[in-house]
Amino acid sequence: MQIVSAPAPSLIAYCKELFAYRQVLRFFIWRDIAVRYKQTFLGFAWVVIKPLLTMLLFSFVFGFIARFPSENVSYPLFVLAGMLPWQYFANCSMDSCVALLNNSSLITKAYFPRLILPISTITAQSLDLAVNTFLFVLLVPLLGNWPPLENLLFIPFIAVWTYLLCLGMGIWLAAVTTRYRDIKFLVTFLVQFGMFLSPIGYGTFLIPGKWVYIYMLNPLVGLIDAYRWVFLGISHPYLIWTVSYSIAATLLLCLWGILSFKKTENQLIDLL
Amino acid sequence: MKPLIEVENLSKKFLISHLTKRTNTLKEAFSEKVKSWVGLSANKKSIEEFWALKEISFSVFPGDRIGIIGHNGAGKSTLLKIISRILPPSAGSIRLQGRVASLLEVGTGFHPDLSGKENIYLNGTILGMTEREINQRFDEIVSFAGVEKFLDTPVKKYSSGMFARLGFSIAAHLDPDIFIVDEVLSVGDIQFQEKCLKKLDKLSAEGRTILFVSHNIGAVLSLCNKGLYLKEGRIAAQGPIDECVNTYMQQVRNPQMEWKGECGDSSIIMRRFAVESKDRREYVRQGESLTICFEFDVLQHSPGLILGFDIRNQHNHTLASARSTDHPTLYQKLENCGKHSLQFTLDTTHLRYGEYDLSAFCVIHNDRIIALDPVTIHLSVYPSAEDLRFLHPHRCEGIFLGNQWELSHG
Repeated sequence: MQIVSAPAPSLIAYCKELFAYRQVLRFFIWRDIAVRYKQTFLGFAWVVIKPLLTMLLFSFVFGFIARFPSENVSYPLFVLAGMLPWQYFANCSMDSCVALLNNSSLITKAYFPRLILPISTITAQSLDLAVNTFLFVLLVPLLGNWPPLENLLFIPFIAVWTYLLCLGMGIWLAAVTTRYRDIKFLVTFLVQFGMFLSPIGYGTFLIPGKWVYIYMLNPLVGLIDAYRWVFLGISHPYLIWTVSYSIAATLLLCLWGILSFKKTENQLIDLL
Repeated sequence: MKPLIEVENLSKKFLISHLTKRTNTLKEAFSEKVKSWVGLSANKKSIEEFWALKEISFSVFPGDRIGIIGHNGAGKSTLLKIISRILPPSAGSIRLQGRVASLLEVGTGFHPDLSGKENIYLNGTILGMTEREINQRFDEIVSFAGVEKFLDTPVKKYSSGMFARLGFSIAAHLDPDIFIVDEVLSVGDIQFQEKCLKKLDKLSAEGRTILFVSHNIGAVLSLCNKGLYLKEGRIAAQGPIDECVNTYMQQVRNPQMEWKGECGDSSIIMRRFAVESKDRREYVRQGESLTICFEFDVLQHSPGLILGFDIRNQHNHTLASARSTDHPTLYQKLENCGKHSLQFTLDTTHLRYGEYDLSAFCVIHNDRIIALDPVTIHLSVYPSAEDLRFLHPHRCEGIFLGNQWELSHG
């Protein structure tokens, strides 16, 4: 028995329904992956090519020309460790802006929990992250570093953390873009700019003293620091602060994202 | 019997804002916010509420085939969308028992870049089939749609006909308890529409519950056994389909099944010409009987008076006529002075589905025709219940000769 009524469902009922529709979610994830590299010559190889090219560029500009320090780790690895979560975050942000807009014909003609759309978008992107992380781990010994093995045990933890951070962000972006289409352009801009605001070409240890507390307001700072610690063993005095703040921000972002999505959901048809 | 769908006091409100600019861009939103803080905003809120549906209550029982009719904008599609859960209601509730499949469009969620095979799985899932059900019915779906050769071709390369066929084929192989169909029949060619309606007819014969929105009164009358007539967001009539369609037609077309007035000359005055049907309905189903009534005063003895009527199609061709002289003895009584009332029983078995005009005429002495041309009644003939003949492509108004066809082989 299903009951459709005016008052919005509780958060628990909302999640239960999401679970009931898990098959739809599975097919949407599969669709998002299948569609992405259709009709491209190199196909799936783009998953690897994109971050590799960025790494080469960064290594050249910051490592070779500007000679940024990288804590006794080969500079390309240093950049790549930052690129892993960053690339994922950037792709997720841009994709989730259009997650609802691109599926408007579906939303106006068929029912399923709308939350499935941003979730599938973010989850489909995770494939790229997983492939890249795997290749990265192989690359570390090749470039003459030895990953700190006990730190590698934290991989599942940072994987979930990265996923949740992007999920919270993506759900919120998907909801808010239906109301203000401007966000789409703003995100494209922030993604370009954010690459320099986040510790990708340089390390957080370069930020002077107390400024770290302001710098780390960008939740990606803690996340990227964690990646460098897990895969390369790079630490700095403020690591515990940046990481704890980022985890807290991730959880808040998820909650906020879902709540604002839920609020928008009822007016979705009018907004699309 | 427990109802499958129970709709209680359902209302749906839309907000229409006047003068007030809705803030569509971030810049507008910011400047409006700032202005309202400082109290400079000239943009006074004036939002009008528009009730697309107002306190609708009805129940759908297993096996009901409900035709939802009404003008454009009466709330039909809104109602279906709320039952399909696409739109949330503003007030009231719906209790649904069993699996609902709503077909508001064919090929919902088809992705142009994915192959036919991939889209069958995607679309089937969106419409509510489990993966196992799709596996089981996969071959049937493909052969019903006739796309065996193109299973691995992206659907963006399909012709629109193939696209629609595949879309409908998937929907047709759903196994829902409640099937919700909206104007799907308005797309596709005649063969496709026929296929859809036949499938719906088969479903209804199996005792499935159907909610059907269409502007094709013929389709509604043949497929549905109950009706729901919506007018300006409220239920104007509900009950047996004939009653509903009748109420609808009375209000929409304002058909005149009766002519009253005075028309004639010094010898005869026509007072009333009417078509009377069963239940005083405004239309007739093929096969039912109609009574054609004439009321007139003969003022002076008029030998050679002939009354009658012509049945004409929409191209103004006379298809048939009846006149009082057809009766062997009647004409002698007609010519006497006094008030007369004359009836003719019309068997509509001989009229095909379509629109006709019935015009009365009056002749005296073969050449003196009293102009009764304005005395015309419009008659709609619909097929009898569960008769799918109406959807054949070459339908035309005319005389029905019967179905004495025989086919022999070899």
